[in-house]
Amino acid sequence: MGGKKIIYHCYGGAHSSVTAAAIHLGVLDPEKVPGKEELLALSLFDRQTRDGHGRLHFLGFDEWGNQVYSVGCRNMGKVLERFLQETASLLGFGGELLFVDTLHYVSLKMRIGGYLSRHLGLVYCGRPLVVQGTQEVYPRLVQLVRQVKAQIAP
Amino acid sequence: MNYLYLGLGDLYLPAAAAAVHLQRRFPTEEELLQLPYFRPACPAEEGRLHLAGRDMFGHKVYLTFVSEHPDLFVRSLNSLLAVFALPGDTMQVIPVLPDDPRVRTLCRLLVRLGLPAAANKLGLRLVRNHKSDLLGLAAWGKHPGG
Repeated sequence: MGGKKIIYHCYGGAHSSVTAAAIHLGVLDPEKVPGKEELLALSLFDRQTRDGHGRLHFLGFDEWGNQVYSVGCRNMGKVLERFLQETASLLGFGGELLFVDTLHYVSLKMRIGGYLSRHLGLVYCGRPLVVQGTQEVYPRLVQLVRQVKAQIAP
Repeated sequence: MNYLYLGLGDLYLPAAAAAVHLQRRFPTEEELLQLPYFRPACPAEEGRLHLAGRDMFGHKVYLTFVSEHPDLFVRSLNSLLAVFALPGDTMQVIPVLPDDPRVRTLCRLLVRLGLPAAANKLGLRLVRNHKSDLLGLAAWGKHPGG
C-alpha cells in the first residue's frame, strides 16, 4: 500500500491538473483522447473558482493506494510547494507529498479559454476553447503521468 | 500547537509579531533590530518557514512571508492539515499584512543600494505603525493556556 499524496497543480486547478489526475486514476483512458462529455464529466473540470484556489481536492486512490489530489496555485506553484513541503516536514510527514506541476503543459488556447470561463465567467465561449486545448495537450499530459507513475511505482 | 506568522512581501511584520508573541509585550527598537529575522527578505526565502522560538507554553512559533496571494497559503495550510487528519489548530496561521505592500519594493531597493540599515529603519517604522495591530494579533492573548 502506497502512502504518498500526489498533488497535481496548475494555475486554477480547473483543467490541466484535474485532467492529469484523472489520467493517473484511470478515469480517463490514456490511449484515447477524451471527448468533450468525458472531460466535462470530471467533477472539477472547468468548475473551480477563485475561492477554491489553494484547497487540496482529493480525487481518489491510485492502483498502489496513493492518494491523488489537484490544487490551483495561481502563479505561486513553486512557493506553495516549498511552503507545504516544509510544513509537512515540521509536522512529521516529510517525504509524503509529491507535487507535479502541470502548468507547463497548458497551451495558449487553454489559457485564453480558462481566463474567459473562470475569470470572466464567460463559460459559453471559454469552455469550448479549453476543452479543445485540453484535447490537444492530452498526449503530453499522458506522458507526464507515465513519468510520475514510473517514479512512484513500488 | 504551532503558530505561523505569515507576512506579505517582507519579514519585518511577521518577525515583530512573533517577537510580541514570544515576549508577551511589544519589543523595543533595539530588541527588534537584534532579531535574526528582522531584516529585508530575499526572494529565495519566500515560503520558507523560520523558527522564531518557543513560547512560554512550549508551542513553536514560526514565521514566513510570501510575495502574493496570502489567502492561498492560509487555505492550503488548513487543507494540508485536513489531508493529514490533524486538528485545525496544529498549525495556526496568522496573516500579518502591511497596508501598503510597496514597502517591500522600497526595502529591496535600499538593500540593492547598499543601505540595509535604512531598510531596517523603514521596517521599524512599518512595525511601529502596526503596533496596535500586532498586539491584537498576538495569538497568546486569544488562546488561554497557549
